[in-house]
Amino acid sequence: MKWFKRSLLSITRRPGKSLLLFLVVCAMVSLLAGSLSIINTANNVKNELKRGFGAIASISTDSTLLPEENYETIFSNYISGVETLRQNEWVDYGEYRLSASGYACGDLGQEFSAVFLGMSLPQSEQFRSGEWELSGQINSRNFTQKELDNGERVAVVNISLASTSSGNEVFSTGITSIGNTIPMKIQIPYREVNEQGFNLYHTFTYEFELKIIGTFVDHKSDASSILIPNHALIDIMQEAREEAQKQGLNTESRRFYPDIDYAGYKMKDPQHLSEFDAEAKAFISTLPNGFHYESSNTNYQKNAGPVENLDLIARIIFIAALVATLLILGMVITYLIGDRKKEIGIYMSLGEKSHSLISQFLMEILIISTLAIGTAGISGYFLGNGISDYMMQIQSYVKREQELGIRAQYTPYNSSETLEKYSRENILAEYQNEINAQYFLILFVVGESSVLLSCLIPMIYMIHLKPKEILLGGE
Amino acid sequence: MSILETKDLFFTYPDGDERKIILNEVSVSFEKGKFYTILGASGSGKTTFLSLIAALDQPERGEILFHEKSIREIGYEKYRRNHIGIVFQQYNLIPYMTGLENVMTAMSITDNSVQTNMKAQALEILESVGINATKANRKINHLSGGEQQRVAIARALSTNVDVLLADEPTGNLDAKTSKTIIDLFKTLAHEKNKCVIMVTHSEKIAQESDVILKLNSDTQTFEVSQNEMV
Repeated sequence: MKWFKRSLLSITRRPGKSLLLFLVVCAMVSLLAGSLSIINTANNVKNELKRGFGAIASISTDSTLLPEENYETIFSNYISGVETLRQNEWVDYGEYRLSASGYACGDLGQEFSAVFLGMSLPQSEQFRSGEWELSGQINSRNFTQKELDNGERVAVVNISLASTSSGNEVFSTGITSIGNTIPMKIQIPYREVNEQGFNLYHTFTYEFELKIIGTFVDHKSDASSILIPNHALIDIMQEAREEAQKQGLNTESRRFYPDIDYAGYKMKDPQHLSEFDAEAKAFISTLPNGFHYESSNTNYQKNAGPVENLDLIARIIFIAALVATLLILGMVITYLIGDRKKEIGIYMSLGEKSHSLISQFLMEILIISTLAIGTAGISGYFLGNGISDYMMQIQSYVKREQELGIRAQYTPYNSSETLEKYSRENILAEYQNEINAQYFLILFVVGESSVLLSCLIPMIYMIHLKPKEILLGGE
Repeated sequence: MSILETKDLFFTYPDGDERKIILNEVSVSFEKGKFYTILGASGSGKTTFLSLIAALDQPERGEILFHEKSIREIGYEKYRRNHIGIVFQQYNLIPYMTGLENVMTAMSITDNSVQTNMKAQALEILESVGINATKANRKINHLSGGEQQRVAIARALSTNVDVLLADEPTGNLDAKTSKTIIDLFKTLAHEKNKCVIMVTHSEKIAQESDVILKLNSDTQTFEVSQNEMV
């Protein structure tokens, strides 16, 4: 009768002892399973939240905090920094937005107020999201990457500039005619202090031309925006500064540079967002106050509090249960082996090989523990569900009491809709404990490993038993 | 030619601050086909001697040779597995198994060629010691003391060994059953050509053996006497 058969015989012929081991393993692994079930579910919710918040990051600006003077270095550092971040291997695509205010001139010499928006991607986020859409005009198109990189003087114009109304009359502006080159003006407000020490406010105007290559519809805003390559806008402002310098104006003022709206990035994989966060934050730290970095991680951290806390508690319970399992199981197995010292002595007196003896006892323990872990997996799932539901309610209540009401600054890379979608109530609604193959696989690996580890000392004790003392006494 | 031989076996036990000599340079040899008894008072060291030649313990000095090869070289575990069978006073059978399963367990452990048709062989051996198939399939605790000892002897024989070691095997048995067990040992020695070495404190039982090794409590060595009555 080989050791494997002896294992089965021992399990079936000693039902009381087998049941004792079964119950102990079942109880201990239920605790492990419960905490594992909570961790598993919390991870699912966290992943779901991360997916929901996406893998986006943005650098927005608060112009009221930006310095007014000596702006050239700040501006050039910003442009090179956001460009470098764009080249990052983790970034799927990224862009930055500059802007300036001015006028577009119509066929009859009318001036129409417009905002020039700098572009660095042919398909900016607004086009991707459908907020903006190319109009159906013949030959209307978006920028090419070459046009953007070279800063060519081309523009895609908001279709709202196609006509303008005055009373009941509607005049064609001619601004949106594809292929036309239209005169434009940039207006730069600046301040002068006169001899008496009074502030005098003036406007510097610089004229230039843009070729219209396309028109677009803005589904969200009525702003008369004209899209032009960022580099074109930078060049135009540079020319304006040179012109202003000729007139003896102080062009170090922030007003003589394009406004910095934001930079936005979309990651290839949410996993790398934390690494990107670190690089972006390091870059932001080199800039003066007024620049604000935010990513999906920031939003995630603001909203995933209850799940994170629950996950932490479950991990603590898991480690405590694991230690308790090792200790209690170790003691129970030592007791069961001690109870079978005589049998072990008999095998030793028959010359049984140590490894066969260990295999026999391990097999017995593993068969019983496998049945126990399977049972504990199901009971632990219900236990985990009960505990996690209760904990989530408590966590949610506490968090609501501590709510700080932080609002994220809007950029297309930090949608307020996403924040609304993942309110704390929605997280609670999505929190559903799932029982699946992965849960059981992890439970079996953890459970069986704990059982095997618990057997280590009892097995060492077993092979060091002295058959003479057990079978013959000490004469 | 001796099958088993001890050379200058020396063994002590702690006795307060000192050590008490139990076996003092004991040299003795055993042959096949003979029934040996080791005689001595309780605590004299006879069971210690048996545990040493059964490789359940190791001597402080001296050697035990099996077919002139040290059992240390053979390996204690391997020696127990393939070369000796042990019968204990307390039978030492596995309680949740049947008699047949106890015998088959020993057969599955040994490396000797008893692995084919194990069940039939086991039943045959049990039959030869007076345990029929019905009793062989009973759990150990459903057998009498004498029957349990017969199962223990069958287990020791089942591994095809030449040396049978027995520690007071009749100690828990009535006189009639004891006699049948002793007769069985004599048969095994004389008809099956086994070397049977039995520890006993009974002079009467010792008289049944071919050779008596009496442990002298002064010298802690054996006084060997051939039993001419046998």
